[in-house]
Amino acid sequence: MAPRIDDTKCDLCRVCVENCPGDVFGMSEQEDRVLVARPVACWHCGTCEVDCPTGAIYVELPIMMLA
Amino acid sequence: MAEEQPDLSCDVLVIGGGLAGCMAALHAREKRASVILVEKSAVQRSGAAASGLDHARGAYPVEGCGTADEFAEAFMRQSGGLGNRKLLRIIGEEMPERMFYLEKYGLRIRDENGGLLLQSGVGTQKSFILSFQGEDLKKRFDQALRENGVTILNRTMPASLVMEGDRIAGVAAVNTRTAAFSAIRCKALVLASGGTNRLYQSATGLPYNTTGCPYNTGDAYALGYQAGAEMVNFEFTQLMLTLKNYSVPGYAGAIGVGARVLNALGERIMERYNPEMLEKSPRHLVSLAVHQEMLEGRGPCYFDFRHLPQDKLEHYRTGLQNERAMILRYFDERGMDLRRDLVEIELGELATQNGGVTGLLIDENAATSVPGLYAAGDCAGGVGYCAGSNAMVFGWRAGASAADYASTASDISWPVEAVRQARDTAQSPLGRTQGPTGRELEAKVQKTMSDYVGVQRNGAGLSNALRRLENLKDCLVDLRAESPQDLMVSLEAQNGLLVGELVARGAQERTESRWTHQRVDYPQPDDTNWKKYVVVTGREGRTVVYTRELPA
Repeated sequence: MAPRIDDTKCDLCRVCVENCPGDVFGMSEQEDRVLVARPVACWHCGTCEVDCPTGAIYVELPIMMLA
Repeated sequence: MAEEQPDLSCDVLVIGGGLAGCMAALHAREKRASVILVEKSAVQRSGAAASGLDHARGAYPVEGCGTADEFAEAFMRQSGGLGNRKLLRIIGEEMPERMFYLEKYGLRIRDENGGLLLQSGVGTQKSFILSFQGEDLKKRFDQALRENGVTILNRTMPASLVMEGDRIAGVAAVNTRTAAFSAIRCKALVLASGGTNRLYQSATGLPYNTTGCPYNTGDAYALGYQAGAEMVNFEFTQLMLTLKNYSVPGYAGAIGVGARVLNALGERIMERYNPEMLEKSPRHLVSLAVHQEMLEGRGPCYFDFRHLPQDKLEHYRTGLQNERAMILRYFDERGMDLRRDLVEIELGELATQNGGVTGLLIDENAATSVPGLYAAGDCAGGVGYCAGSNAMVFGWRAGASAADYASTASDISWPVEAVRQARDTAQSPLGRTQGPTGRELEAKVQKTMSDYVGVQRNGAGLSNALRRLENLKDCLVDLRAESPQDLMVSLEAQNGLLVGELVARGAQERTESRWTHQRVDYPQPDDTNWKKYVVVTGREGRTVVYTRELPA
């Protein structure tokens, strides 16, 4: 559920970390990976997926939200 | 000592970086005020317009668009008889200027011939809706703020007002990522932090799956309460139909293209509740009808699009996508086809009626009842239902009013002891190893609201709710937070507790049924006694409730 990050595409630009209205993203301790640190706070607004310049983010709807 | 000076000072402090807050900050800068804007998230993607806007209501100077008077009339009709015609007229009249202002920052609002793009009206009704490409609207605002010298404090949440006697000296705030405390001095304060969501249990149990922005948690109302500002219409909670399990407002676009509402027996339900107007009945009646059908066991209920021409189906899908970027994923992941399938709906979680109904009472200058305190956007109330445009027009007005006030305001001595207390209170949850978390408090408030202050209310249930909410105040001194984000959640939960109390108090006071406030023990409207506002606010930490006449 919430955003899924493809680490092979992520270039650590941190736009998602900067922009997310729910502060869902964080950095790993070595600052070498973007983490979905607080998935419960995800609104599924999709702005991270739209803003990611490399297409590394896919917002997966949790099964509870599906039709 | 650290508290003896404010951490930051300004003429005009704006709380909230959404549409209203950005407009307020920009206009205050134009008036040469120094401006600090405090935003809980980050301006470029914050608030109800996080993914931008693709339409804006106003009385635009273009063929087919109604006049400002007609605009006011149209939105009065959507406001349950509680709108302020004068303020709605101002919105209609001034929206074109606000859009032309945004054009200067690159927003494209015209077609290739330079004409404004007006969405067509429904039937014989005039349109007031300007269509445009505004997915990056918040980013343009962010750029405008920076170009104009507004100091932006992102990831910063207000914790309380700093008061010197009964005057507002500033705001105490915490950083949502570091928990660092800052006390910001200001001469004038603009509240623009949106409405209240996460107040009731969500339909899915996922707390951030809400129709409105889940990060708007009534923060402005807590500050307004502390200042003693008059606030209205808390009992008129929203009744919004959403797509099943996915809380996006599904109603307006669906009815606009001609969808029908069916129950599980295939009946067109509005034939039972309003055979003359059917789905074009006032929205709250359609919501109440779906609710009643569910209660009586004839759910699920659905939108039926199957009879509509293809262009209407496309129009609906496009409109939904502009509302919430991920919505098509909802349809596509289960292979739903509007031509073939009924679309299940449900009543979304209740909330305050954000968008100009519930909130801080303002006049045409966006002034609240407290000198030097202004409000705009979803946190302002008594205007009438007109989200978005309300924010932009009254945000702009609030900025000028605040700048003017600041230019003549007398100095206030900085209340060092009050700041010290504010810091301790704000940060104390981080120091505790036991006690309830903000998330636990929030869950209990939501359950109490859903159990006793729901769609259908009665006096005993409301008293029950108020008793439980009052008891929950005892746990505030024990709240525990394990991280800065948890600290933010604990502040949000405290604000939710207060807003819940205001909703229950308003609902208890208003002994009639009107619009979205339904009392089983007073099932009829009572214009003689209740065609007025119920006002709530705080006086020395206690809630006061009284009535006020509606605007002429």
